[in-house]
This record gives sequence, structure tokens and C-alpha cells, in this order.
Amino acid sequence: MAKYGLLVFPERCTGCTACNIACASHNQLGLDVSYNRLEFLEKGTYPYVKMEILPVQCQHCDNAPCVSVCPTQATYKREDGIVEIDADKCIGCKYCMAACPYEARQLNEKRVPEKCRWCPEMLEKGEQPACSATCMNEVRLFGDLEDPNSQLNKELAKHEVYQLLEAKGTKPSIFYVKK
Amino acid sequence: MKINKWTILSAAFILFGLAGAANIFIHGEHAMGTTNKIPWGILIAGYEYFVGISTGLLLVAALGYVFHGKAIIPIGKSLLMFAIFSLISGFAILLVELGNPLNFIHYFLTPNFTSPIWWMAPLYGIYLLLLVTLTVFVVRGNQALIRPFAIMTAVSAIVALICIGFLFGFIIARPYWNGPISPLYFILTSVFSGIAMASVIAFLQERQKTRANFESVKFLRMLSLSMMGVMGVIYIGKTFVGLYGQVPGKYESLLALLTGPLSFNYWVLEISLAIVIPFVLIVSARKLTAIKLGLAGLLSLTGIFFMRFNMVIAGQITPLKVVKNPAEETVFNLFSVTWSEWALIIGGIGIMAMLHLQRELLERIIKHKPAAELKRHGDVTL
Ligand code: SF4
Ligand code: SF4
Repeated sequence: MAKYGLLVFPERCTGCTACNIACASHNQLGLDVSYNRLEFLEKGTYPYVKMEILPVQCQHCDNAPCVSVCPTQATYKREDGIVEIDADKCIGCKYCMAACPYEARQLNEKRVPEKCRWCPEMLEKGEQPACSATCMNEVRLFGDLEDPNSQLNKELAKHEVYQLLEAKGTKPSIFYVKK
Repeated sequence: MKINKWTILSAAFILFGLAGAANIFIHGEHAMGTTNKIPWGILIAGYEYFVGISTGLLLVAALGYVFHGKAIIPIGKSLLMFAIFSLISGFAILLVELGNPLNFIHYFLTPNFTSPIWWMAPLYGIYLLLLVTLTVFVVRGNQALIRPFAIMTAVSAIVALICIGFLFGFIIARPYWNGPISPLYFILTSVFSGIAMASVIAFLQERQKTRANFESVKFLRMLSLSMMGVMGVIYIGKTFVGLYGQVPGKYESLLALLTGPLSFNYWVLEISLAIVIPFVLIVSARKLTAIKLGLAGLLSLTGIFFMRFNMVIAGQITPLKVVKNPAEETVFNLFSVTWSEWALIIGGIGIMAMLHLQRELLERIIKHKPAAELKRHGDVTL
């Protein structure tokens, strides 16, 4: 069984938001809903400043607070590592929204807190999730963390990486290359 | 059914609440002040508020029925009744706050035992069942059963409060809520709201002007002042620990309360209304009458509502700063409350008031006695 993960190369990101648009169009999202966002960070002091752009989305945490708190198992962790939501089981308590440290959850029109699903329907066809597939600079390397020969594991071995809010103990499945 | 100006006012409150509920059902989350950044709003605070009053009232009543507190027994039946009414109001508000209550069947089909929200239903269910049973025994005068059931109900109330404490305390994402003291905080603040409500109830019962009621007022005065002291310690503790440690997230939320966007709510509507003014009112009264105690209780009850609201919002008002340096300047998340949400809170008050006004009818049903007979025996007290 695969265990999916993502490696992000922030220094390659130009901030074009193609990933965001591809995601919205693939998932048919409304105008006020977005499953992935770009966070813009200013670093340094004038005149020595630079901008860093970080794509942020659901981290598909291995120790996901949203999974632990969901009363009906509407939010659950699949064997392949994807944190999925079964809208038919969701009572709309929004506990997952309050508990997610990454602000990944977005309430939809049906009052279900949705988020990035890593497009399982694309993965079944052997394709990349919409965001990774569309990125012109290959900022998002999606792959199998359990396959030692995957491109993802090779790149992970090459770079020094970090995860977002590691101290919260959520064990995200997304890694960021250190600059 | 008694119909007077109070019944009409309560009915108007309930209708207003229903209008708010209808608006939320039709327009969904758009009719609420909640956002993706502040997913829990005033309705969660309202739910906490009403169930807090319920469990608090029960714990005050337990002083009478478990520890033989003579000053509580004369108002004990009313405390229990109001505990039931308040719980019903809390549940009614929660039902509207839940986005998809029809999926509730999965509560039983696919339960998640690690979720405090899952535990809320069985724990509050048991509490309600025990509370109703205890009330029936008290109304019917089944002396032998009152004490054991009062003990069981009090234990179930405390367990349920601990669960609400976990509900917030477990959330590592929100440092203002996260922590081991959360269950204790909920127990103490709920007892405070129970004492405040009991003070109002003592006033409502003042018409009897019995010696026993005078004892209740005296005892509640002592309880109120002690609890205000305890609350003072909690506030001082929370404030100093928050300021001293400057823990990211917790510190900013505290600043939002002390000097930021929640400061009016905090100083005027919470601290002053819940504690300072009632405290002054009680200690300055040369002879504390039921009306002054009732007024102090009413002010506290209003302030405690904002205590709940501020606590819920303060936990979410600080942005999560997923990638930003936690020390960077904080721009607080915006919060708002819509008319529909206020309508539901007012509707909750209406439900409580209406049920109270129909108490005679309820007691008649519990006792299986016709109204005329009840009146003859002088059983109806309120
Ligand atoms: S990032 Fe948030 S929504 Fe995604 S798995 Fe982690 S806790 Fe859940
Ligand atoms: S809102 Fe839905 S998915 Fe989120 S915790 Fe509640 S039931 Fe689970």
C-alpha cells in the first residue's frame, strides 16, 4: 500500500496561483472556498529583503487532530495516508475546523468543512493531484513515502527539510525544503 | 395553561428564536457570524451558557439534598426545575448550530470514542435522565430516594462538565483553550452561574416571604461572595500566567481581552457585570433583601453570558500563524454576531421562561393530580 506524501520547494514558487486555480476548477469550488493557499513571507530588513512564498494546504497529518475529534468518523485517515471526509456522516459540528492547527478547513455550502483531498480519483488513474500536475516550476513533488525508489524519497534524501508547526505533534505528510 | 403578560413575552421570545433558526436553516452559515477562521461563535457560547447554568443549579441543589443544607431545601425544587429548563434551552441552541443534524444517526453507527463531542451526548443524556428522575422524586416527596439520586445526578453533572472542559482543553491548535485546567474552569464557572441563577430563583420565590426563604437568601449571599472570590483568583491567575509567560497564541488572546477588540466585552460586560457590580451590590446592602440578591444574580448571569462568549472568541481571534514567525505583529481575526444568532439566544431565554411559567401544569403531570386538588393542598409554590 502506498503512503502518500508531498515535498514542496518553496524557492521555486513564483506565486502564480495556478495550483489554487487548478484545485478550484477540479473540485468545482465556490468563490469563497480554497483548499490551498499561498502564504507570502517577507524576510530581512530593508534594503536587504526577500520574499518567500509557501504553499499551504491540508497536511494530511499522521496524528491528525481533526480525525481524533470528529465524533462520527466523518473525517478519517485512509491507509494510504490521505485524510478524507465522508460528507454523509458529517453532523456539521465544526470541531475539526477548531482543532486544525493549519487552518486547512473550509466550510462549504452544505455546512461541511471540506479541505484538500489529494484528488484520489486522479491517483487511481496513476496521475498527480491537480495542484502538482499543473505547477509549471515543479514546486510540488507528490509521491509514495513507502516506496524507497520513488522520486519523492530520492529528493527527500537530498535536501534538508522541515514540516509546518512540528511542535504541535501532528506529524504532517508534507515536507518543505529548507532554503 | 396560564396566560398572562409574561407568557406572551416568553412566546414572543420563542417566536423570535424560531425566526432566527429558520433564517439559519434557509441561508446556512451565511446567516451566522462564524467564518473559516472563527468557526465557533455565539451559539457555542450560548450552548455552554445554558448547560453551565443547568449543571451549576444542580450542584447548588445538591448542597441541600446531599449535604442537608437546610437553606437550599425550600428552593430546591425550583432549582431542579430550572436546571431541566436551562438544559432544554441549551440543546435547542445546539441543534441549530449543528450544520447537519440529520446525519446524527452516525453518532451511533460509527462512533469515535476519542472525540469529546461524541461523549457529550451520552453524558448529558445520562445527566438529563437522572435530573428528571430526581425532580420527580422531589416533587412527589419520595424522601428515601432523593439523596441517592441527588448524589448520582451531581456526579453525572461534574463528569459532563469535565467533558466540556476536555472539548476545549484538548485543542492544541488554540493555546488559549489548550491545557489541563480547562475542566476545572468549567466546573467552577458553571457553579458560579448556578449560584447566580439560584439568587434569581430565591427572588422569584420571595412572594412567600417565609423564614426559610430568608435563610436561603442569607446562604446564597455567602455562596455568591465566596464564588466571586474564587473567580477573582481564576482571573488573576489566568492574567498573570498569560502575561508573564507570553506563550505565543495564549498571550495575544489575552491581549485581545485586556486591551484589544474584546476589551469592552471583557472589562465592562464580563468583569464588571458578572463580578464587580454584583459584589458591590451585595456587600453594600445593609440588609440584603431577596430583590437585591436577585438583581445581583441577574447582573452576574448577564456577565457570565459574555464570559462564555469572550472565552469562545478569544480562543480563535488570534491568527494561527502557520508559517509566520509567532513574534510577528498580530492582526486579529474579525468576529461578528448576526441577528439570527441573537434571536436564538433570546429564544433560549424564552424557552426557559415559558417552561417556568407552565410549572404548575408540569407538576400536575408529575403528580398525576388535578389542578384543583393541588391548589387545595397548597402544593404549588411558584
Ligand atoms: S492539516 Fe488540518 S485538516 Fe489536514 S489532516 Fe491536519 S488537522 Fe486535519
Ligand atoms: S464538522 Fe463534520 S467532519 Fe468536522 S468534526 Fe464535525 S462531524 Fe467531523
